Amino acid sequence: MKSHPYLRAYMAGVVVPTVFLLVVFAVFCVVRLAYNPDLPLERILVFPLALVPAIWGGWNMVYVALRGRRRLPLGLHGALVPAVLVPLAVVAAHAFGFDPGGATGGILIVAPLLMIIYYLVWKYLVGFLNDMLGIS
Amino acid sequence: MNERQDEQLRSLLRGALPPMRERELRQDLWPRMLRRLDDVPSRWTWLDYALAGVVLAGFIAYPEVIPWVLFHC
Repeated sequence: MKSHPYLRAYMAGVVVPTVFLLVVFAVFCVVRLAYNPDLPLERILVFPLALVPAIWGGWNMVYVALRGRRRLPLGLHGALVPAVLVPLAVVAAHAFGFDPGGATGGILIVAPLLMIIYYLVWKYLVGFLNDMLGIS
Repeated sequence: MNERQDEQLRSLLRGALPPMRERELRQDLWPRMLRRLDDVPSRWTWLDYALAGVVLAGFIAYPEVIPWVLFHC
């Protein structure tokens, strides 16, 4: 399988957040129906629904584009995604008028945790999908 | 449209769409797929376990960050 490496990279990249999004969506739905909190849940969902999978796919394309040049291992490459995602999320949160979990102060804790999570997920899950689709 | 126009249209379409070559795959891809599925997956190292432990400890110590983490997934 040699053709369309960037398309395959994009597809391999979007799988994990897209599948996990169903879990997040289910949690949000249960919270909305069971507890009816005073939170704009629909507005909160826009960011993970619209941007996160696309960023993952695009970042995996960057990984393929760096083939042959100096590039980081896949896990470390993935751990850099929060560096893009966290500022975007903060902007989105402020734009949509909500503060999930103590926003700005919590970022100091959230950012390293996210980087670790992303490192593990990219190393194992995205790496597995990349192998399946013949992306090295 | 009469017969002649139909025929003209057919010949135009045939001219615009070249005949497909190599309709069959050069080789069966299924054995390759099975080989990939049988490949030994990467094993977790002690560092990975330690990092997962850090995440778990972080969630226990600061449960308020869980919505933020979910927001990024």
